[in-house]
Amino acid sequence: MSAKDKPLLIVENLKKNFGTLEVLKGVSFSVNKGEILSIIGSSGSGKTTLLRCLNFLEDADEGLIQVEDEVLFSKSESSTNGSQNFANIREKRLNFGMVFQNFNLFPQYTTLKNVMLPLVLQAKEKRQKKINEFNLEKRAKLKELNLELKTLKAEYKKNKSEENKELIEGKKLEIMSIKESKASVLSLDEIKKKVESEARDLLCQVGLIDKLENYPFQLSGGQQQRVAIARAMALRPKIICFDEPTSALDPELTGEVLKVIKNLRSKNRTMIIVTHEMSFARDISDKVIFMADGVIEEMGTPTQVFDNPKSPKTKAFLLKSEEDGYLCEDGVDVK
Amino acid sequence: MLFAVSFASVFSDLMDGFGYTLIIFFVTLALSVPLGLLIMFGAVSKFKPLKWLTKTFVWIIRGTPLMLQVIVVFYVPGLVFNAPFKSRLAAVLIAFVINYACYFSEIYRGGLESIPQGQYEAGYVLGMKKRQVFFHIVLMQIVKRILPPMGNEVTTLVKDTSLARVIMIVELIQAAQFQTARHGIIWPLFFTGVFYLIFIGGLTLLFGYLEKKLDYYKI
Repeated sequence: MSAKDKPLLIVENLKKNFGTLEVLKGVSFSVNKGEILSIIGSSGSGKTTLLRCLNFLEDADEGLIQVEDEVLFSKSESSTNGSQNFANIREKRLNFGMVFQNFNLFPQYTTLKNVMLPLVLQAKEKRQKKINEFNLEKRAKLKELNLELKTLKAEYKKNKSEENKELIEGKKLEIMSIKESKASVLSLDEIKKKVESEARDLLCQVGLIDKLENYPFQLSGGQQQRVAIARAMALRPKIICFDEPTSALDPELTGEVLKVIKNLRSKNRTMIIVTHEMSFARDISDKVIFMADGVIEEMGTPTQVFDNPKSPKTKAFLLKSEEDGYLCEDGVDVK
Repeated sequence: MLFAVSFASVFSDLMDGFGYTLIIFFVTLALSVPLGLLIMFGAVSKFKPLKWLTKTFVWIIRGTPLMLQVIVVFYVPGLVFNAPFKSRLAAVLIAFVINYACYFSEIYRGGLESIPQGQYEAGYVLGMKKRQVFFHIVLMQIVKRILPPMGNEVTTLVKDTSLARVIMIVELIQAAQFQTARHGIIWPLFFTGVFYLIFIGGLTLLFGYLEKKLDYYKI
């Protein structure tokens, strides 16, 4: 298998209990780069918990999560790799973006600021890190130079040679110039400007360029969810997870959100979508997983899962969805 | 003529008393607001002994009258440790700061716990540190939530300052009572109401203004 064919995300035997309730009973699947995976299944089947484990919002009990070649999580009954301190988890989380069912926008910030905030914080942190490293290096160098200067001075005391005196002056100049040197980083204003144009661009992609200065409460549910999608994309996660992105929306607002997700598909983004929109899942996915009672009951291409389900549970679920009107042809127009 | 003369002198004495009222009010407010935050962090701590210690402390403070607390703070050091309080005002301030910090801590806690978990989670999945989530996301939402109950508590504080006279601080009411005793007139006592009303009126306007300022977003 060449590196190119290697899956972007590998999940193996993932297990999660809440007390005595087994929510995930060993889930394994993989997602390739640019692929879209839909997860369907009835409420309580563990779909959401699965996404939350991937985002480290829940701590899985057992299993493996690997993105590219990095093992993010690995725990088995015998050996625990459980030294998960928060800083560690924070970096792992950046592999994933998450769009929540009820948006979770920050109410006190405008649309633009909602998208900018994570970017600004990350950029500032990187900048500070760079400055700290530079200062550390600077201090070490100054220490070294001062030591050299001291030796030169001691020598000068002994022989009083002109040559030595020049060397001392040279050293002093060098020390001065290093003392005055500064790390080459963007100023905070420049960071803000750069981040703002990135955020504008993202909001443009979700069609909200005219709502930049609006606060979340002034937006419709569909618009709020589109902001949330832009925000989730801001940090360029390798995989974007959607947790029932349209369940909290009025039916007439789901279309605009699904359209935005479809647009992302054309940009070759890797996505995992937990959804109840069957026709959407069939339309957009490369791979569909049907979950029931904490296990993957059926997995395959949309045609396999929707048209030729093998498991009786899948058949029953699809039939019920159809009766409830989820699968009707004109249900959601995502074109 | 007698009335005019005594009004000026009474008023000036009442102003002296009001000075103490203001000192107690502002010092208590300035110190108990941050101290309340500290107590709140204790009350929501995951470290159980600290949590229960804090909760017990808050229960004791909220469960006894402030007047009693002032008396205890002032007299107990002298009685038990043979180190009487030099400054009556300091004793009053200590009792007030602790008392109000406990009440504020409960208001803060209510605000903190009203923030949906989803706000934290949204911050975490965007790579934020716990500190960043608190200061950039949660704090301003808490401030908005707690502003009305804080306004309530602060107006109560203005009137509670009158309890300081239990250990002979000559605050507004006590100053008026001296006038009453000295001149045999009762109106200075009634007149103190004007001071309180005007001061609290100002505070009400201030809190109204602050609430309006935070009206640009909804939680």
